[in-house]
Amino acid sequence: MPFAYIRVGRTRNREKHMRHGRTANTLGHVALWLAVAAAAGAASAPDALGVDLPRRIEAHMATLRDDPTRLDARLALGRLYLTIEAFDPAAEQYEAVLAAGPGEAAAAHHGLGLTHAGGERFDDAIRQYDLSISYDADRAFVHAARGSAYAHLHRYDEAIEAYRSALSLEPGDAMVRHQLGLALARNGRIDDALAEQEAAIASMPDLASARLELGSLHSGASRWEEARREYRAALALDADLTQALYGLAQIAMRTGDADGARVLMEQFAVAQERSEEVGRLIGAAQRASDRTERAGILASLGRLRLQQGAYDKARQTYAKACALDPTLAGAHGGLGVALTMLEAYDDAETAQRAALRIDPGMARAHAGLGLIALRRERPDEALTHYRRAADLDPTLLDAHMKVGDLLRGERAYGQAAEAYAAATGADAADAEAWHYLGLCRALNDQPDEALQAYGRAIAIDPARVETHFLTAELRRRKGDGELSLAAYERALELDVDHARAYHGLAVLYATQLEDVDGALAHAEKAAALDPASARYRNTLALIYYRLGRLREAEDAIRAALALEPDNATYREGLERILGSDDG
Amino acid sequence: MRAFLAVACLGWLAVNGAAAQVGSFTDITKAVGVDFRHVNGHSGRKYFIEPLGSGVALLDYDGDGDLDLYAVNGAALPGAEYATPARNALYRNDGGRFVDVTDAAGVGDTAYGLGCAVADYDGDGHVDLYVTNYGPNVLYRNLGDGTFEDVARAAGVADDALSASCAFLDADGDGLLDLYVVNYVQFDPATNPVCTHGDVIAYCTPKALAGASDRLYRSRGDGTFEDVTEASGVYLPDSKGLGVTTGDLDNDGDTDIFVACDTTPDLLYRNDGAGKYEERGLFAAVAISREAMAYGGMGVASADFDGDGWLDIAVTNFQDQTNFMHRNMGGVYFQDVSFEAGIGAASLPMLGWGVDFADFDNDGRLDLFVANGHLDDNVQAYDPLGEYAQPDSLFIAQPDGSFRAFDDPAITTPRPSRGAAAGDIDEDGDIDLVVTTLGGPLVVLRNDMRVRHWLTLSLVGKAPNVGALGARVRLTANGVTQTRETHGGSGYLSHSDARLHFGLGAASSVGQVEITWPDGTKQTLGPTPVDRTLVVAQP
Repeated sequence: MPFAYIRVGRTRNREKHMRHGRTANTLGHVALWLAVAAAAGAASAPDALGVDLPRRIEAHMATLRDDPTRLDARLALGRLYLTIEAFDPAAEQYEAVLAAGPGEAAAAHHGLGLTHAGGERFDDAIRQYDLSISYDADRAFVHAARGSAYAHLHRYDEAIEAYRSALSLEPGDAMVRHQLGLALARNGRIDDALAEQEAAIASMPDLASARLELGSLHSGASRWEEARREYRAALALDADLTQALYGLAQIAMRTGDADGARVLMEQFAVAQERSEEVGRLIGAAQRASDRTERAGILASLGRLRLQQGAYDKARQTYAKACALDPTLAGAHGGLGVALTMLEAYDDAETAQRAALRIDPGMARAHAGLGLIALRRERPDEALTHYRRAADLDPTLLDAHMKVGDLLRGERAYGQAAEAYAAATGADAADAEAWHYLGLCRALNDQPDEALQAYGRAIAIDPARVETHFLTAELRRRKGDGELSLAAYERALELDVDHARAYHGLAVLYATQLEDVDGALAHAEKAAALDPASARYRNTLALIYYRLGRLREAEDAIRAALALEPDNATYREGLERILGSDDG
Repeated sequence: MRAFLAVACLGWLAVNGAAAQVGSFTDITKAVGVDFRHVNGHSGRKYFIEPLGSGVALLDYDGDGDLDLYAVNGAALPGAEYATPARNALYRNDGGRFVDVTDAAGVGDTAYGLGCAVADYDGDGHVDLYVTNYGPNVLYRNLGDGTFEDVARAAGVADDALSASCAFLDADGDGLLDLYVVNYVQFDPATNPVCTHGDVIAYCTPKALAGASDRLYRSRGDGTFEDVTEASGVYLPDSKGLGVTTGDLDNDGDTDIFVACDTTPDLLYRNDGAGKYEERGLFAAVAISREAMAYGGMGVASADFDGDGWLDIAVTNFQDQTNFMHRNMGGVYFQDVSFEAGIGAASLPMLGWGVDFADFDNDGRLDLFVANGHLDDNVQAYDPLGEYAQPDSLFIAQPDGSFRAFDDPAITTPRPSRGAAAGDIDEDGDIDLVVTTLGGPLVVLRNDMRVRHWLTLSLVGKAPNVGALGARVRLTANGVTQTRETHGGSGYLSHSDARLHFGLGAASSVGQVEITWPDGTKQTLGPTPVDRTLVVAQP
């Protein structure tokens, strides 16, 4: 079953499968050429996707209600609709602009072209771009969008010509140069394509898609090192470019590294699976028949992006969802989380409060405010928000956990334990909640309850090293030598380099198992694994001392003191050792 | 070493009512008496198998030296009724006219047919026919008297899955011809998935159905076969294959297998020499596209298109996906050069199916034919760029290694094409084409481009592999060496003439022909006259 770990393709039906690639590019087309236009100062950029998008749309609509002749407001509104891929209302605005006269015809035809492109009507799009150019031939981004439309029609000669027209007006536009390179490659002009991609990267080094294409071009010419470098750069810039992993795997194979190839192929399979889900949601959003449905799907996509750690993509996706359906509280909340992760705390708070205006009982929004407060290092405020979230939704595990964490940080172990207990009520299968419940119980001097909680955590997740270790420590303190020994050994089975477990074992051997030699071996191991631990040196010194190996004891305690010169206990230990030596 | 020479009919076979156009193809379907019309069981319910179409084979079933034609047909599906049940058809080539001999030959299977392959599997000197169906497949054993009998069940090859392409090959090198059957998906009309785009019903992707493992049947040598699918390493229950080609892809003397799959990774099975296969598609860089996607693979053909002595691979794919041109980089790795070769951009607007390499203009370079057509006759209702009937593509190889689309009305007339087979039907020295269409007529396209020299080799191997499947020929003329390999099935659901045709350009003689027979023995022919069919028997 050589493909057991390879899952490629899309979980879509035929028409979705057939259309997806083109449609994804179509949306890419609109976003891309809006961005290019924005760079030329002629449109709003996709980067404008933020918390105020619904407000901006509403503001332009209000302007037009007051004065329908305001073409600037219509153009701005059209661009905002394009930004959120609401093509029909965008087209309405541009057509209204054209109906008012030729004054803004160049911009309106360009916008209309983009709306047609969004609907995959590329012939119509080209006609609109041509009209735009007939009014104003000096707008590079219109030529570029025209080239892109030709490329979507697989008419690469015309695409190349249009891109070159754009570049004659804006020679430094890396994105257009990148697109030109793609068209050249599709036309089989590999050397020219390579030159354009290199030029694109020279002016925009973080253009991930150009890096990817360059990797592919180098790979095609068997320039493995160059290809490897570009693929890696592409991946570093955009983890979604999973084909770079496949390219790297191919290079590994071609250069004789079969094991490396297999590892990369497995990574590729995992990444591909992740991108499949993204693709499925993008496809669903594109097929959604109305804005509300589309907003809901985009919100799901945003959540997935958050889970993947792709915060900026999550931000853009949620922002579109909010603009498509401003009443979607969950999208505002998700946008708030994305902005929090991007450290845009003010905007994040705005988004969370927008969510709460729509749904005052939205626990996740309160949790979102708690997260913002945490990031701003305002633990009291965070605690208040998280407590409110937990009250509103007792099933919200994360809120209970955060309350527990914050109280634990304040050493309020009894209250923290209550919060973790509530967390286990929210999700009895959450091992971490049981673990921390056990920890707080232990710290609150409730060893039996603590062991019970640790046991639940281990039953759920037997590979929790830390829980095994804490169980061992607790049992040792209770004097359950054999049970403690078993727990330490389990921890060490799971992590052979667990220095604290070795140290705990050393103490156990020395104090309960009456095996000083065994204690010494474990103490030495702990000290070797963590040479910076003064505590381990001290334990080592104590064991040497008990064995009568005073010179080694002295060395060990001096090493501990070197690490912590002000530690009175260690100093006292040194004095005792020296005193014994004198005697 | 003695070669048998047989001079084929070099004369032009006059075809009534068909005016030849020099430098082009001519649709001679009606003129030569071919009236085959495909049915796909269409009733508006959009059954998943409806758009698959069917295949066609060019074979010399009566041993008279010319190519006869066998066309596979669909059948009624629930909701569709035909006054007369559709059936497969065999046309005998009688001096340029084709005569329907289906009834007399007994090959008019009425099951829902898809693909076919041709080989003399029992080594009796008469080519046999294997037909894949939705339902039990058929093995027509040629009795040598112009008739056939279905021995599929007795032979153990009546695979009742939804089978697509198939190919005969000697997988384990024992001289007996084995059979590879590509199975597509698990389909049942009662649970046919319904897929829509807005309000428009469209055919579903294979993702809507579970895959089905291909099957490899090993010949026991007594007319029966043993299912060695799992033992040979080709059991992959999730694959969704449609096309197959066989050949020695790594030049190690045995027959490898390549399967084009629809939305699952294409498969490259490397043979260990004893009939055990290892799937190496991903690592050989032929399983998925450059952007790391499993494409909608349909047909596949293998040939040494760049003249380096290694068999390369062409795969046809779904619309908006380039066809693959996998250049063989030494047997272990391939590199898709579709864009560099000039095939990629031209193939993007098309949904490709049938595919075959042949030297259509006899210039010594292998050209590529691709049959195109969309799935949905209502594609325009949901895809502004989609076209149901699409032009087929003929890419002519250029001296610089690239290909250029040949703009000929007979080729580019839009059709919902599916299967395709290539062969010199009129025996004038250039390669003609037969193309099936979905729910429409089979089309015979006569090549009128013969302006250069040529040589066709008809290899006769030692029994039981009398068709010499797997034999490889290196022909050198004017200092240029061309490599060909005999095959027992290739393309999409179809079977092209298994004889080896070489275009020779201006070369008026062949310097050397080196034949490596399937058992590894080599035979070298010295200077050989051209513009003829040469029958060579294994010494």
